[in-house]
Amino acid sequence: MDLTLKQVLIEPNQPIEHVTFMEAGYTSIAAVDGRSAIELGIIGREGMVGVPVVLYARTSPFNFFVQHDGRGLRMAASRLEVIIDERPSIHRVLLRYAQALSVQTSGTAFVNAEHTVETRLARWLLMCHDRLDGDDIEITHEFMSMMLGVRRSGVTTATHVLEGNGLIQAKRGVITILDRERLEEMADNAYGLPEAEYARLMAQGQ
Amino acid sequence: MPRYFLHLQYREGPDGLAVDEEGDEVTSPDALREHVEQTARDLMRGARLGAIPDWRTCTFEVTDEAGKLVLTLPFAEVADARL
Repeated sequence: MDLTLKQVLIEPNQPIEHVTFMEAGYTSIAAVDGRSAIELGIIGREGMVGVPVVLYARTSPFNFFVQHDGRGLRMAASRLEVIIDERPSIHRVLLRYAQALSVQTSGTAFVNAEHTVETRLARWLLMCHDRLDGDDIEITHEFMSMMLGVRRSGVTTATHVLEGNGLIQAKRGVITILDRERLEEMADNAYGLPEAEYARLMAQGQ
Repeated sequence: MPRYFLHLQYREGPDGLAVDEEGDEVTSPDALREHVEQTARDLMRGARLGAIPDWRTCTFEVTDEAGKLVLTLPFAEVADARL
């Protein structure tokens, strides 16, 4: 199925009817409070939307919505529940993904406490870049402001700093990654650990 | 609602101006100053930027949709008012 910007895949505290295996684009896990939202994690083609089902939880307190247009394969949650009961080898892989996603969201907590807006922006752009083909990331500052939990001026200034260093180019509504290597240097220890843990866990096979 | 653009002068010189291309909608021109002051307070309270060791050195240059400068707000004014 096609996934379009802002499409809600899982609503907070509502029964999860479907899980979505992402093929393109990415989905945000966000804590939503009235009009504001803060991003906790990103799910792209490396993962699935609906990890609570794998853990035998049919609801989540968080909102899962499409942050970048894409595609996904949908499966009824009830069907997945049968599959994980009957096929432990599949369940094991999905449980390891659940752990990888948990490490990623813990990483978000770490950087929010520890790092500057520039570093957090660099991490976030790298995570988006990982999940897209090409170097253009379609995003407004308004949206980044929500995702990073910082007033828009803070995001605009951080973008200006990264652009001034030649790491990205920012045009209205699009950020282009110019120098990924140096962006990773800028992100420092804010980026890389969850990605390495994902690779390690997924390499374990069934 | 009128839209205003909050450009942030965070370092001296033209390279130190972060240009706001998106803007904020503000209910009325009368509400503008309060909106800009609140934004400055939120930034000082919650945004940690490597490029800005001291928010009190920053200034908002606010323009309207025609590009006319309508308000200049040094963060120091807002910071001092809190003391």
